[in-house]
Amino acid sequence: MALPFLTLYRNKWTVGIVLLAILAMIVLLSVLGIPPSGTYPVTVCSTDYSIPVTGPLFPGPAEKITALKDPVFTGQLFAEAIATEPLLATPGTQVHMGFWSGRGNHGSMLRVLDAINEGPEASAVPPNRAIWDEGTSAYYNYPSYTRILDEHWYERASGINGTVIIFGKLYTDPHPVTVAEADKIWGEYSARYTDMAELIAQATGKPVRVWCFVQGARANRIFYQYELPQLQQMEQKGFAQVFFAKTVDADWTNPEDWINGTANAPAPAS
Amino acid sequence: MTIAFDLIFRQGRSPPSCPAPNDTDLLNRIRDKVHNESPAMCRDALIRIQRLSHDVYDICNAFREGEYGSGDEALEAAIAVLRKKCPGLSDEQYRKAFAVGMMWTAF
Repeated sequence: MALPFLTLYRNKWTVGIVLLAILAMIVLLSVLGIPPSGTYPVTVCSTDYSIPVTGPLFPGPAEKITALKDPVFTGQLFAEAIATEPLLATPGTQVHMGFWSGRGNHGSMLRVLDAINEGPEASAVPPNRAIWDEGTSAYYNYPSYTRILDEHWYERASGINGTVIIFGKLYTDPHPVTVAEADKIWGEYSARYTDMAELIAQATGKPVRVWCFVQGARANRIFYQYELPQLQQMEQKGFAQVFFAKTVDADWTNPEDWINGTANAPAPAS
Repeated sequence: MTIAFDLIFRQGRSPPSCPAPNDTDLLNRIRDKVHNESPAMCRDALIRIQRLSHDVYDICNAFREGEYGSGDEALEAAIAVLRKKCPGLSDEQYRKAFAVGMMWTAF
């Protein structure tokens, strides 16, 4: 039998060791990236988007196009979106998606994005949230978007004899890329972004409201080639309500500023 | 000039209509990095790079419509026009600007 003061010290040591063990487990789990048990059950494909990018990447264009055409990629983008904005998958949230094409329209779309996310409707009940192809706001990019930038498709497409200079360093591209392939990669990425409307509508129980600034956009660009066909499908299935801005100053709260429905989409510029 | 270029073409990657960061913000960011340069020189650099961003948008649009022909020669012709319109940058910067312009005009 231990003396009373030894029992006291032994208990303190035991408590200390247990606390240290718990601390070590927390550190270990966070380093290994094991999610907490309450993580939202979304299908995430097994690609390594969580691995930090340290420099330019040179995947092959065919391999990339195949990955981006797979509907699994839509699930991955959705998982990345709700990782920074859980309200996108919360029943009742009114989610908005922004689209732009053509000169001058990018800024208009960002203005609407900010007006929704930073205006009074963001804290209304139920809340409103707006996303675009780059991320869940003008500031938070999807990891997949950051990664596709790090793959430097257009830099590679404008390289010379299979070499490309990125951040001042000359690289030999193991998989030279054409402009058509770079367009296809961004096009498929944008199509899968558009398909997120289905997952969002199913999670929130509300059709996504889609705001398009495409006045003056050309037929051979990503909006008309990749995004509009997907938007038409989303609309037909009841997952999206699609609106087209009449002017660059269109106000999302004023129905008079918008053309309703993909059937009335503006004709592309010639 | 290089700092202004990096802010618009490497870090922002946003077409000329992008409202953020605005001119004041961009100018402050340039001046934060080059304390010894005059405000006028920083402003001139920003104006030149912004002009480049507008020019590259037009040139990439024209490239996409086949106005420079096709293949590698078309690409080099487009970059040569950019070089002529906005002199004073490195070859890497012209190629980077062209690549970013191609991304802007893809959408």
